[in-house]
Amino acid sequence: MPRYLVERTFPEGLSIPMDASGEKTCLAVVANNGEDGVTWVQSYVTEDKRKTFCIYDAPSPEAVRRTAARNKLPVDRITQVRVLDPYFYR
Amino acid sequence: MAAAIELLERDTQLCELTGLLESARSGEGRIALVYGEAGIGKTALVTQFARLHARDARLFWGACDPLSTPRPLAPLLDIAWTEGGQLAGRITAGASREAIFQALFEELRSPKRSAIVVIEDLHWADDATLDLVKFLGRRAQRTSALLVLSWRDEGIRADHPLRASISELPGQVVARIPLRGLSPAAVQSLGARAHRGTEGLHAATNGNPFFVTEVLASDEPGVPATVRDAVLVRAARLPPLARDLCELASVVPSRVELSLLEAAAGPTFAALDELLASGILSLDDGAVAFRHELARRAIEDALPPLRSRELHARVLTALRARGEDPAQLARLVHHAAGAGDSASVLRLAPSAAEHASRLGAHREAEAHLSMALRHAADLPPRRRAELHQARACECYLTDRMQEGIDSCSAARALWARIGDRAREASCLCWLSRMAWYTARTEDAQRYCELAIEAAEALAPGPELAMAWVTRAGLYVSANDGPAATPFAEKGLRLARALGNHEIEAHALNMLATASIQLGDERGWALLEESLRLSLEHGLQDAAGRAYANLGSLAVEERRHELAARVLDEGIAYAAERDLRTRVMCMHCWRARLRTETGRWAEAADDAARILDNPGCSALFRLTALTPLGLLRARRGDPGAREALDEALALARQSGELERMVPVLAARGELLWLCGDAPGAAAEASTLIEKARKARRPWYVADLAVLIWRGGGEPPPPDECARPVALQIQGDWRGAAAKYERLGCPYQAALACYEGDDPEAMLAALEALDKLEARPAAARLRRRLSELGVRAIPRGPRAARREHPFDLTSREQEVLNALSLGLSNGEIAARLFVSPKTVDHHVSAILNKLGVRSRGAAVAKAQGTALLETQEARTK
Repeated sequence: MPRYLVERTFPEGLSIPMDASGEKTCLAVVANNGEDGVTWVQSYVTEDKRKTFCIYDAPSPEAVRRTAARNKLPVDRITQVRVLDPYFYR
Repeated sequence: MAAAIELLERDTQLCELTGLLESARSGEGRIALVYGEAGIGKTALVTQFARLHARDARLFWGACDPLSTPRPLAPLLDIAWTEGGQLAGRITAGASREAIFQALFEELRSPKRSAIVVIEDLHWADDATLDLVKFLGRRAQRTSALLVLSWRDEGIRADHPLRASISELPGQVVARIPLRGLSPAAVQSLGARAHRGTEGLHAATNGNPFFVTEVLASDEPGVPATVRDAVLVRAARLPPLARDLCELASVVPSRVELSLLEAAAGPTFAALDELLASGILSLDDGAVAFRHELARRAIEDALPPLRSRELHARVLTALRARGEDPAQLARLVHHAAGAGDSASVLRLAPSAAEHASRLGAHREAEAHLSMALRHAADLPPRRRAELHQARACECYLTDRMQEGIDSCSAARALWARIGDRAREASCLCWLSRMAWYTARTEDAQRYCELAIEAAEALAPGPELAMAWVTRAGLYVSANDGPAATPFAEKGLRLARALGNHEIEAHALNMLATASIQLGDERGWALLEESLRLSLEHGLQDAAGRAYANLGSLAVEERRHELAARVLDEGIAYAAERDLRTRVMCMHCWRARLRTETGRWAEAADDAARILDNPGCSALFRLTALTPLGLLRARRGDPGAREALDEALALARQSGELERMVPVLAARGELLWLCGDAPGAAAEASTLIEKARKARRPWYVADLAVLIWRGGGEPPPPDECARPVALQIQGDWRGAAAKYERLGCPYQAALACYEGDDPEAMLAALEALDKLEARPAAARLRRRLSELGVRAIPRGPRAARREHPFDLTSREQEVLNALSLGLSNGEIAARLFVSPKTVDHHVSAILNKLGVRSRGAAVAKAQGTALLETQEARTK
C-alpha cells in the first residue's frame, strides 16, 4: 500500500488533550479511517501547533481525502513518499 | 444465526438501536448496520432488540442463505411468510420484482405502527437482495421503519458487491453499529456461571462470544486452538445415532425443516431429542438449526467425501418428494451438486438460472449456468451451445466481459458445427459488443463484419437487424454519424417489420446518437423519446442503454443539468435491476461530470466505484481513470500521471476519438499545471486535426484551449465550443460568464486567471481555494503578486470551519461545556444565562445531533466534529 505525507494547517492551532477524551478522539479518527483502509501511522506537529505532517498508509490519495473529510480535518497537500533509512548503509 | 444464552456488554448498542427506532416511529425511517466477525453476537443482539420491542413494533425478519448459489430474494421470501397476506400473495402470483419491492415499501410506509425490518447475513446475499437493500435504503427516510442490516465483515473484499450496496445508502439515515469481542471481565463472569476456570480463554477466543460459550459447554480441559476444534470435540461425544442425524443436518445450510429432516433421516430421526438435548442444535418454529453457522460448517467440512455425497443425495430425494417449487430450485441444485448427481444438476440448474435472472439476480443466474456447464460434458452440442449462450448473456449484463467472450466463443463454435447459421450470427453480434467493452475495437469490428456476412446469407431475421444495429453502434463510437445512420435506419425498419421492440429501441438510440454527433438538435428529443418508450415497454436493457447514451452525450456536450438528472436516475434504475454493466458505465460518466462541475469528492467516489473493482471492463477502467487523473492533477495530488498514462495506453488500444480527446486534454492540463505550457500544447496538437475533422466543437475546444495557452496556433474560433471560442479571442470575461452558466466553477476561475482584472482574479482565487485546487491557486497567487496586488489571501481560509450539525456558536459553547461533564447549573453560571436557557440549548443540540442523551451528544461530537470541540477547549 502506498505511503503518503499529508500536510495540514490549523489556523487556530491543534490540541488533543493528553487524557481519556484525547484518546477517544484519536480512536474515533482511527475507526473512521478503517472504513476506507486508511492507516494513520504517525504525525509531527509544529511547535505552534498550527501545522501537522502526517504519515498515512492508504490505497489512494482520494481515500486520504475521504477520511479527512469524514474527520473534519483540513488537507493542504498530499505527497507520496518512501522510507529512506540512514542506517541502512551501515 | 442462533440465539446466545447470555447477552453481555451490548447495552450501548441496544440503546442506540432503540434511539433509531424512536426516530422511525416519528416518521423518519432509519437504517442500522450491525457487523462484526462470525460468532460475535449479531443475531443475539438483534434478537434481543426485537424481543424488547415485540409489543410496540411489527417485526419482519429475513436471512440470506449460505447455499453455493443463494436463492434469489431469500430474505424477502422469509419476510413475506411472516407478513402473510398481501406480500406472499403477490410473490406466489409471480408479480414483477418492482411490484414486490413496492408492496413492501408501501407496507413500511404505513404509519399505523412502526416496523423493524431485519435482513441478516448480507455477506451471503444474492444480487436481487442487494438491490432490495438499495431500493429500501433510498426510501428508508420516508417510512416509519428501522431497517437492520447485518453481515460478517471478515473476508469482505473491496470488490464484494455488498460494499458497493452499503456505500450507496443515504448517509444521513445510516447508523453503524460494529460489534467487538467481550472484555476479559465478561468472559470471566460467563466462566463463573458455567463453574469453569477461564484462564487463557479471553486471549484464545479474543472475547468472541460464540467461541467462549462453545468452549465453556465442552467439558474438555484446556482451550481448543480454534472454534472448529471446540465444535468437533463436542460432536464427537454424541451417541452414534444422534451423531448421524447431526451430520445429516450439517449438509443443509442455515436451517432444516423438521419434516424434511424426518424424510431424509428415516429411522435415525428417533435420535432428535438426544441431539437437541446436547445443545448443538436447537428447535425453533418447526425447523432445527445449529447454534451457529460456524458449528454447521465445522461438522460439514469434517465429513469424508463419500459420506457427504450420500447425505446430500438423501436430502435431495426428500426435497424432491415435496415438489419442485421455483423458490426451492437453488436448494435443489445445491444438493444435486453435493450429491454429484449430474443428471439432476443439468435438469435443475438451467431452470434455477432462469428463475434467478427473471428476479434480476444475474450473478446467481450465471453461477447456476456455470454449474450446469461443469456437468455438461455428455450433453448433445445443441444443449451445450444454449447453456453457453445463456451464460454469455448474464456475463454481459454483469460486466464480466472476458468470461462472456469465452462462453460466447464456445457457443459460436458449437452452432457452426451444428450448422445453425442464424444462431452463429447472433453469437457474433454479442462477441462484437463484448469485445468493444474490453476496448478491443478491431476485434469488435471483425466480429461484426462476420455477423453481417452470416446474417445476410439468410432470410432477413432478428440476427440481421441486430447485426446492422451493432454496425451502427460501432460507427457511432467511432464518431462517424454519416456511416452510422443508414445502418441504424435499415436495422430500425427490419426490427419494426419483425415486431422486435428490443432491437427497435436499440436502433432508435443509435439513430438519435448519430444525429446529435452531427449537430442535429432534434437528436436530443429522439433520445428522450426512445428512453420513454423503453421504460414504457419494460425493456430493461434498452432503457439502461438509453440512460447511458443520453447521459454520456449530455456530459460530452456539457449539458450538465440534463446529464446530472439522467445519470442519477439511470444509475438508480439500473442498480435496482442489477444491470451492472450500465451502472458501471454511468458511474464513469458521472465521475467526469462531477469533475467538470466542481463536485470533486463525489467524482472521486464515482471513479473509485469502478477502479476498486479489479475485474471491470477495460473501457470502464479507461473512462474512470481519465477524470480521476484530471482530478488528481487539479488537486495537486500524487498519482495523476500514472492514472493518465494507463488511460492513454487503453485509449490507444480502443483507438476511438471520444476516448482519446479527454485523455489527451487531461494530460495537457496536467503539464500546464506543472508549468509546461508548450508541452501541453504539443500534446494537444497531436490530435487536433482529427478532432476538427470529426466536427465536434467540444472535442476541438478541449484541445484548442491548451494549444492557445501554450502559445500555439489554435484552430478557428468558430470550430470551438462557445466559451473556448471567446477565450481564444481574448474575451475572458465572456468565457468566464459562459462557464459559470454551464456550472463549471474551475474553468470559470481559469478564464479569469487569463484576464487582466485583479478584482475578478481575487474572486477566482477564492473559488479555487474552495475547490482545493492547489496548483491553479498557486499559479494565480503568483500572477496576482506579479501584478502588484498586496492583500492576497494566504490560503484556504479555514474552509472547513462550518459546523457539520449546523450548531449556533452558543450551542457549540454549551456542547463544549457538556463534554467537560458540567451540569446545567454550572453551565449557566459559566455562560451567564439561566439554567432554563441552558436546558433549551441542550435539547436543541440533542435534536440537531439526532441523539437522545448528553453522553451520546458528547460522543458524537468527539467522533465527528472533533476539531471544533478541541479548539474551543484550548481557548
